[in-house]
Amino acid sequence: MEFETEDQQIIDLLTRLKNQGGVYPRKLLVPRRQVFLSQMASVGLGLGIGAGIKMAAKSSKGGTLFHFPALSASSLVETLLVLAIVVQASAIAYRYRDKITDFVNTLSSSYIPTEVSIPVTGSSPTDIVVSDTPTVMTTETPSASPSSTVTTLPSTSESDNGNDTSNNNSSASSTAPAATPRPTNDNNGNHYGQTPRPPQEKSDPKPTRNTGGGNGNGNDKKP
Amino acid sequence: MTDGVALLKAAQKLDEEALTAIFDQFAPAIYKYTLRLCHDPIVADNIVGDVFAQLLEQFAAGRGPRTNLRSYLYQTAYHLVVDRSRDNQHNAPLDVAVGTYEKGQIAPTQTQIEERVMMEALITAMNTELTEDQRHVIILRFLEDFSLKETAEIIGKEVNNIKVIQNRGIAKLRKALGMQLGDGW
Repeated sequence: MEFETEDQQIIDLLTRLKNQGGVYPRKLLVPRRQVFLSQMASVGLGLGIGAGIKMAAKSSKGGTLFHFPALSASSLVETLLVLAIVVQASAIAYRYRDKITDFVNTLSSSYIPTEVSIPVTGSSPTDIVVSDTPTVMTTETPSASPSSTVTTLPSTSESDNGNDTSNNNSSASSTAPAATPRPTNDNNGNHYGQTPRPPQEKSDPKPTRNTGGGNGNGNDKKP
Repeated sequence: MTDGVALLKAAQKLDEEALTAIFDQFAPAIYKYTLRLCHDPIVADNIVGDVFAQLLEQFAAGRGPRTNLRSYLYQTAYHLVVDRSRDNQHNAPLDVAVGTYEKGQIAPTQTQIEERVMMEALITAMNTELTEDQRHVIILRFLEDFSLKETAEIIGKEVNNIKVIQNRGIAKLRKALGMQLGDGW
């Protein structure tokens, strides 16, 4: 490879640099060589064992009469070991057959749901406050501008819908939530389709044109 | 060359004599190379140990070099040095015992002093001006006498790329030496 004259000077310098310094100290080289030799011996030993096994396997594949005893002995030992394991497992199974049967039964038995009763806490259904009409309470507030607060008590508190029947905040502390009464039959609480249908009233025999057409706000114009 | 091939084939069979001969032949050179890169004799010695341990493992596993044992050893050493320099996060300076005179030695002449100054300037420039790749290429090409192709194999780059890195490295060295020693040094 050709270089320019100036570059050649650099390369000459580098070539001179090549021959200088960097001698492996003997105190480092000798132990390093010993380590390498020991590594070599260990690798060679491992390789020797591996090669021996490989050779044995190779020669056993030959199937000659000379190797037959070794092959049959190994297979015999293997068979005996398998038989011993099977016999031992059978003996253990026979000895603990009752426990095994119980265990299998517990596994195979179906799941039986247990009935959980809901504990009734608080007041009895008789404590439920039932009022048909909303009550208007007027309380004077001490503010500068007098105003009245209209508190509407719930009109009805049905005991079978499970809703809280507390009247207001003040009475909530005194009135405990009513518990849902236990259904008499096997009703699980769902009452779909059990609401009694209201009796159908006879409609006007001469219905007007606007029958049912009103929007209910009283703004229907009469013709 | 034939001896080298025969040695390599014997070493592949884990022949102790061949492996010992390979160690005796290449360990000092590998040490010198790694010392140039990592500056620390202990680290260089450890790298030599790692290089030959890996060689043994490769031979035991049925792998390893098939043709160019020297390139293979330098390649292993190069990767170990690069890994260590990455771990240590420091720029490994070039280490060459330039112009060290032991006690009792005759005082250096003027020419020797000038050469020593130039060498030190060169080493300084190699350590400070060159990139990692440029330093590796310059060392492998001109201090270890590897060809472009071998250097490319060791570093793991294309030959053309190695040429470019080499030329840029030389240009940088020339410029740095010109600044340190004056024009026409």
